[in-house]
Amino acid sequence: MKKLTTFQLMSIMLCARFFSTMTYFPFAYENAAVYMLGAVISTALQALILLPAAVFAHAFNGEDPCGLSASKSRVLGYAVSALYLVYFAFSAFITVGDFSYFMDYYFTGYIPRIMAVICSVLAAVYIARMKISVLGKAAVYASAGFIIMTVMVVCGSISDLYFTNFHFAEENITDLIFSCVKAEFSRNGSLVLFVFLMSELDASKGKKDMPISRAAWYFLAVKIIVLELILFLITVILGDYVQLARLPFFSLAAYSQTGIIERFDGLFMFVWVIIAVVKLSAYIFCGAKCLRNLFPSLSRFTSAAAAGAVPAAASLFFLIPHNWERFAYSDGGAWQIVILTAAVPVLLMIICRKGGKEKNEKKLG
Amino acid sequence: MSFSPDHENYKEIQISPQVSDAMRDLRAVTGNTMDLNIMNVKICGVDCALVSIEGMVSTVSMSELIFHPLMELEKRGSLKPEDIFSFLTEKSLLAAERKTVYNYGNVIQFLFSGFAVVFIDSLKKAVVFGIQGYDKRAVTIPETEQTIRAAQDSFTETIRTNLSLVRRRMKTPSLRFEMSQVGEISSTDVCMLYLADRASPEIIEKIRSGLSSIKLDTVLTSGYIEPFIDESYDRSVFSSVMTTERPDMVCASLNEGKVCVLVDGTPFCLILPTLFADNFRTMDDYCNKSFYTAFSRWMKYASFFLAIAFPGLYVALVMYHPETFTLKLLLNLAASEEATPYPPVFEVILLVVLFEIMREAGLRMPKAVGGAVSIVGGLIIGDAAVKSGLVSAPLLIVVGITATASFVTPSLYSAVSVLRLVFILAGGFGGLFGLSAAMIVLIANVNAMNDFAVSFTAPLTPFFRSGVKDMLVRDSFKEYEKRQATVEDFRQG
Repeated sequence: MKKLTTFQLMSIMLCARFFSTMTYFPFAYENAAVYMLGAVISTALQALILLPAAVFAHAFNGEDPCGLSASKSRVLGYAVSALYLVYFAFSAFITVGDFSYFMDYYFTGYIPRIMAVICSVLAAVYIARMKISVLGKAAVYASAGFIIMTVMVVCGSISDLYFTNFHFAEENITDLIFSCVKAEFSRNGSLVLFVFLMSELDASKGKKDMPISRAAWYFLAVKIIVLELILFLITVILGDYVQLARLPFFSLAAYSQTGIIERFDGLFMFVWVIIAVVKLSAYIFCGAKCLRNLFPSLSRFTSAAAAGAVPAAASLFFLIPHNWERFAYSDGGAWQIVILTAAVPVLLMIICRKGGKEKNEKKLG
Repeated sequence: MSFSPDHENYKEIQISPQVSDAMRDLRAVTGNTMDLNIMNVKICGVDCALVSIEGMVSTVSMSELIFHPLMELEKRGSLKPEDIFSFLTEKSLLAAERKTVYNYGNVIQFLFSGFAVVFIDSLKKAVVFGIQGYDKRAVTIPETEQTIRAAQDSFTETIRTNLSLVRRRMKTPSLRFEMSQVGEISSTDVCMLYLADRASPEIIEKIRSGLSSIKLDTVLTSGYIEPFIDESYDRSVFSSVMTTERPDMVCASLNEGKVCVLVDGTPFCLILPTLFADNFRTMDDYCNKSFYTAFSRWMKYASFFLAIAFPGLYVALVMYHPETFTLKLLLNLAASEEATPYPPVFEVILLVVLFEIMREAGLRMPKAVGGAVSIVGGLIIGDAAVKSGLVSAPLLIVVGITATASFVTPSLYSAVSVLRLVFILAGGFGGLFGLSAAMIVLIANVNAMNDFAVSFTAPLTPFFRSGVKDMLVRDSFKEYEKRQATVEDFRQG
């Protein structure tokens, strides 16, 4: 099997989002209940942003922006590929840097940062150099692992629910909601992954009638349900402690216990590493594909190695002198997601239709 | 061709019309090997020769099926060579297998397969009779795949016996046997088995071309041909070709649209393409009720996980994440580890390697001695190692559980034993981080196996609703009545 199923693409997107959920939460200094509201609004906005991509997917039968632009104009193809390459390289840089930083700072101190970077990038390159279906299947297992781990953590802490912790008593609630919407939006690089990977969806076995954008809608639905559930549990179990915890989901796992396992932070870390490698693999895979668009002579392995090595080296430049804090707690940019998910497809649709009209006029002439 | 044949150029050379010349040629080709048995005889006034290989033919069959009828023919008086040939090939039923051969290549092929060859003077052809009578092992109970309620017979080294074991269970004309010879020197019989109405023609063709591409000198076991038909042979620790010594398992696989390959001289049959879940299936699953089969399968899945990851997980938790253990367990573990001189990772590697040595010794030794090795290894060395403080008692329990669990899925043993060491090293040097990294790489490696466009991890990934239930709990026979799933269901374009 060479292509992705809808479920596999959704799993890749979920892994990319779950990594952020499991790591840093921007509401640490705010109210989790407000963030829940902000997440719902943000998800609605994401759905709006995805509409052009859905129309694009329908109009061009799931072709990715790079392929389509290259078919129209060589220069345009290079430009679009370069644009996506920069985004994926930067996302890989942030992912591997965050992974190493949080591993060292919060999860466990026994792995040197350089080792965390090398091991994760090697594993990710190994996966990214294979077919996309391998990444898709690995993402399915990783997502399943996340769900199982979440259920275990919840079961271990279900006895400590205090619903009085759940409240909206905040000053300037409108501003807070706005900042939460922005923060949640900027943590959804999965949308860019969807636009780029929709061309890999399998439409060979009687699935032509299904909308290609189905993976994105499913992603949004599953993401918001899981996110709201986690936020709710964090709020009602940890209470005001979330204001101190920068990684509240991890704190919940550490707090959770059963008669057999004293705390679940080890299990949490186990799943977190797997999810991180899958997310990194997705970015490296996409970056490698962009590289091959720009330099067709590159092999799969060389392009994947280059797409992994450059962000890894760049992240080490900040990680080793302990300067990663400037990236670790930033919200990231929502604008690049809007550009790559909505603006680029809209522009390409306009260009392609214009090109199509001109061709028709020439034919008629 | 006029030049005389030798052992290098004989294959295409036509049989000499003179029996004396043909016998000279045969002696030249075979270097007058001592087991070449040539009997010159005059039948109805025509010079003939009966050639066989000593020990390869049944003397009783030869006497009853060839000597006796030929002597009866002698009573008819003088006959032409063509009449004798016609009698042998058309007017008599001397043996179950009878063929006409025209060149020395075929003569040698049949002679060394246990046939007797009759040469008739002035004819450029000979007649071969299948009267094989070499010693062969009887059909016995399966040694490596024992079951409680399923059939108790297993394959032997003789391919034709094995084919009969399959044929008598599948009385359908759609069961096809395709015999071919592989090995430049050994000319080993290899037979491809499939159900014409179930197996994919594409898979059959791929295997057929894989077999015909073999250019080895000798093919002595089925392991020789595996690399030529297993597309992911060099890319994964797991194998997408399963082996079985059970004829009933072969029949079940054929019914699922799989293709089987039998190799003469090997009591194991290759089945392909196989799924990862097939390694957890036994014929007893179809003798028990569904609930027990489900329980048994889940035990096997758990055993597989324990076999590869338990020691690594133990090492990772003890060395880097002891806070995961409950307090009482943690205190016990701390007390036992405190008394040992080496880090847990070294202790586990020591015990696992020791176990592998004892297993290897037990396997190669005569059965009686093998038992003694197990007692010495398991009881004496284990007990002494704990008492002397070399290893901790909990660790011995972990390795013991792991070793037992690894025998639950014998078809995965080679992969399990290597992966176990990898996980121990990953857990010992990287803790849970190392285990996670090793796990995701393993998941990717397994998921990359896609032989014959059938995903090794199907029906889980990609998800096939029809197959998942059978994988987890076994479908009811009523479900099988409605529809028998085949590997074709799991093929992706």
